[in-house]
Amino acid sequence: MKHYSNNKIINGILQNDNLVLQYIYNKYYSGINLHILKNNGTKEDADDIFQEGIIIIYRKIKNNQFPLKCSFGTYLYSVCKLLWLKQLRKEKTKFLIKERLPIYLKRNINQNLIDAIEKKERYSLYQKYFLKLGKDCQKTLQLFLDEVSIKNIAKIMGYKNENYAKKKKYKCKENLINNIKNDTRFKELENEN
Amino acid sequence: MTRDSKNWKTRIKILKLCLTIFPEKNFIMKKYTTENIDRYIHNEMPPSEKQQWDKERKAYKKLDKEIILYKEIEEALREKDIIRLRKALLKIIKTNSSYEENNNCHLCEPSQKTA
Repeated sequence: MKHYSNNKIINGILQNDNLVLQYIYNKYYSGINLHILKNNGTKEDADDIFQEGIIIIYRKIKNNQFPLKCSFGTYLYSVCKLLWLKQLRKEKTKFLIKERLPIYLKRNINQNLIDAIEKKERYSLYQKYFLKLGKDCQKTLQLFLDEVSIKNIAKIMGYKNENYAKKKKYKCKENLINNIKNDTRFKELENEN
Repeated sequence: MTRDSKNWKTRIKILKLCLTIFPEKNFIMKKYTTENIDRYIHNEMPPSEKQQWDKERKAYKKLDKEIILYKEIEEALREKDIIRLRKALLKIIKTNSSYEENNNCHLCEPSQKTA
């Protein structure tokens, strides 16, 4: 397997480079998967946590908050383990971090990281459900958010008229919101607030 | 008309009146549709309607929460770079999962299996 340096990985994540993302998956996913399977999780949980871990790191890199001295692998494991702990004992996360994380992981985790995870939890849920919508719905909603005129949206999407484009937008949005509201994690997040 | 039936009629009248004045749930269902909430958050309402909604928003916590949710969702969907990254990661996870299933191996890497 080709080796990538920390810098190449960081740049690759920023640029959405498929080769780098595949490298990260090949190198680190199995460890994360194993940890989650050993701790009452499933393969689906591992997929989810791996994805969230990379997204959190992407946000950190984008905001120049990625600790450059830290190895990428160690950091990714730390973030994923923290995410999984959080999922296991939501309300007692901070207690668990102090009590159950090994010292080498504690070193990589600070309040800043915990805040970053909590703040974007709702966003990740919304984005995941958005990606579960049909391609038509995704594109229609995206065009509306880009403030493309209804006339153009109807034209781009091949809808019969502007009225239909509007109706489609509301229908897609309604589906998205209903799916989000039906998710147990959304209900948990609501109760936390 | 007996006294009992009169009482019942009064009770039904009161109940109907209550439902008209405080039918928060029905009210929300009927009036606060996706379309109207969307018009509200995108300032597409005439000023008088907007003002009315502002008042109702203060009175109904549920409506306020709903509006916040709609705004949050839009903000989240505006993070195009993150959505793009999610798509790429999902694709990699999906491809590798089906590869692993076909090779009947859950924990090893694709490179290990082909070796």
